[in-house]
Amino acid sequence: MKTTKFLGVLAFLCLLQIPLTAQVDSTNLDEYFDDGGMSSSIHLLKIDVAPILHNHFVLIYERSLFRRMSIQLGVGPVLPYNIPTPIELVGEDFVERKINSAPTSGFILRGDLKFYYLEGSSQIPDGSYYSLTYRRTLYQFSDDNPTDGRTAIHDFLMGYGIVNSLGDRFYVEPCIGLGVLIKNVESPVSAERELIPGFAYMFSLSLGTRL
Amino acid sequence: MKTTRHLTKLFALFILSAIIQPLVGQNLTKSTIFEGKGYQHLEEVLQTSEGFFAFRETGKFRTNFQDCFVDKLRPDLKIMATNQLKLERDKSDLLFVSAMSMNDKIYVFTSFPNMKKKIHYLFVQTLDQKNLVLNDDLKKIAELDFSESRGRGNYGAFSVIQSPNKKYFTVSQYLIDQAEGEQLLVFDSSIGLLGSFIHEVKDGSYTSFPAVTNDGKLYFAETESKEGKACTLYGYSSDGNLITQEELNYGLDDGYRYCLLRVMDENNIIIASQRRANDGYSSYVVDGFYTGVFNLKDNNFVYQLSENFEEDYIDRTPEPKPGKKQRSRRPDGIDDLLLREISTTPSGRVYLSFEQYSTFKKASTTTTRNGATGDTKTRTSYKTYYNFDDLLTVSISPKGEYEWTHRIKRNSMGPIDELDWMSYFGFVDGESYNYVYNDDPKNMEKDFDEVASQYRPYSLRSGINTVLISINNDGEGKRTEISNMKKDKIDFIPRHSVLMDDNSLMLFSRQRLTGLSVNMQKRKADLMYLRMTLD
Repeated sequence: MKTTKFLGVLAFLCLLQIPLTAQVDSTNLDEYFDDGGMSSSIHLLKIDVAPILHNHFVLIYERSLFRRMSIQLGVGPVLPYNIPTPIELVGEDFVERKINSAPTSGFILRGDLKFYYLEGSSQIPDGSYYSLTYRRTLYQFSDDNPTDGRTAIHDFLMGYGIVNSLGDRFYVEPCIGLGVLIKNVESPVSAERELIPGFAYMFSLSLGTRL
Repeated sequence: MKTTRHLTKLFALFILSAIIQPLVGQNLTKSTIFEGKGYQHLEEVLQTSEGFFAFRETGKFRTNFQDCFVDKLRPDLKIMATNQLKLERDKSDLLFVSAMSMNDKIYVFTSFPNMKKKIHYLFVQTLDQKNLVLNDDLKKIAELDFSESRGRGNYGAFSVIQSPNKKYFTVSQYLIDQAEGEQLLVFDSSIGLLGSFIHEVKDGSYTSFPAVTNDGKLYFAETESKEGKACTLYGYSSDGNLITQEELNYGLDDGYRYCLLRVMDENNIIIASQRRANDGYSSYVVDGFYTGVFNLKDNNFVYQLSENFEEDYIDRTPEPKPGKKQRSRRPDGIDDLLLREISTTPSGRVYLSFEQYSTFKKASTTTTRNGATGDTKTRTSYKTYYNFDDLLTVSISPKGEYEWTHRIKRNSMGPIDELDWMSYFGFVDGESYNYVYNDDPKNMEKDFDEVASQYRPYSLRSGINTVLISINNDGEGKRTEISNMKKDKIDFIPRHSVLMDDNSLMLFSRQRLTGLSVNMQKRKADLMYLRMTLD
């Protein structure tokens, strides 16, 4: 009985010992690889500040999928004021409506597929890249004004941007893009939908951090 | 079902053998093909009791290799196993540095530049020779502080050099833009650190790569200042004590630059350098060489030799026309000549192998005109080309007397991804010195001795011939065609050849594809190892 107990305690001690030894080794190595996530952090969080000029505010999450390729998703509210973009100033009913009455609410959804030109062998998003972007912006207007309806804009864009590190963790990322858009305008009176194609552009300036 | 499978395999083998058949000639005996996947680069070939191990890196871009593969080969080059080495830790990618065989084990050296700490670490792991996987026991053996380095991505590099008896190796670390203090480490074959010390490098000076002797001593040469005013040989014991500090006797006041060091045998090391014709002329003209053999036991030079190249091998500068002023006259010599290799034969003869190497930038200009304003804008872009020209061999007798010089006229050029393709592989076979390189087929029609390769194998489109030049101990050269790319459907990457034993050479080559652009050929072509019998 005593022998069994002794063996049991020994086995327990051994079990304790094994992870302890492994941990000492890995802690030592971790010191070398601890670079504040600069090479291993594949998650990034950022705020696109450029659209605030108009009426958007987008919070973006980016995740590296493979070496040189990452995906990012953005979401944000449409703010209740309106400074039209240059493209919106060129004609069309929706533009007039938007100028006359600022949207009361809405939201923006954005998805990007990014292809980096990484110099090193690292997977971290850094340096210049090309992107394919889909952006959906939904504008809701006040019910008081019967001329305004619900308008959704679908942008399909090709972009080029650069991720510039600011210190260990933070970075700034300007990006420009060109593409096409489809406006889906819903009349508040007849509930009819109208699809209007057009050209779209993108300028974003994101401030971000590696998680 | 099984029969069909067997028949398919048999058919595939038949097709494969039909492809390989033209390669099986007098010299090229066997080959193994593996699938091409992007750009490929052969890093190391090691031999242990288990077989040959070839490390190759692949990448989707010309200069960016990311994945490292290891092939285990039999002496007949049959691939027994292939595996991709997992070079990563905590999701951070490691860079492949080199591989080394010691105590019948294979050690793989990798590095990780920590961008936050600004420290570049060097690690070592062993490779399981059966499964071709790296063990988990990653061990840090060196670190390089690159916080002071200029330029993005300049995190320096490590060089790992082994003693001839494979009992010791040294790690030296250097930054690309500066060499203010070089840390040198000496390890034994069980990766035990014997000594670590810092050699202060004077501003503007250059140090050669170190040589490790069979008892773990470390030697290197330092050339002071860009003009090469003086060159000193330093020797350190494995625990870091200075044991030798000897100024080399060039016989001239200045004009030397990069030195090469090799361990010659148990008692001697050999140092050599090209001699610059320093006459206030800005570009690099070489008119001679220096060689010294240093005895490790006596701590003294056995001989030192500083010689001009013979008149016949020097390119003369025409005399200026009378009455015409010349600001700085090009000295007589050979332009851009670099000492590439020091080799010794079994009898103690020393061969110095030089290559003319230079780069030049080719400008292309585009002019755009603004329709509205009428303004024109000119934009010039530059592309760098690399010239690998004449090969020069110098023979020094075992007694330290100059014997002869041999110059091979050559004219090759290529962009950066063709460096390995355009340069050469040199090796000693018995008492002869041999070169393998790619040449233009038109040069084959010319007599090798009178030569002047006027044609450069610039493009894969025009076709290339791989040649073996053998120079005997009397300085007489003989040319043998190894392969004709158009006929054999392969092209060689000579720089990555390896001597397998006394009479065979392993060559790395690509299979030629037709109907594709040159760039696509390089990316898509299957690669193969070929064994060439030298006799």
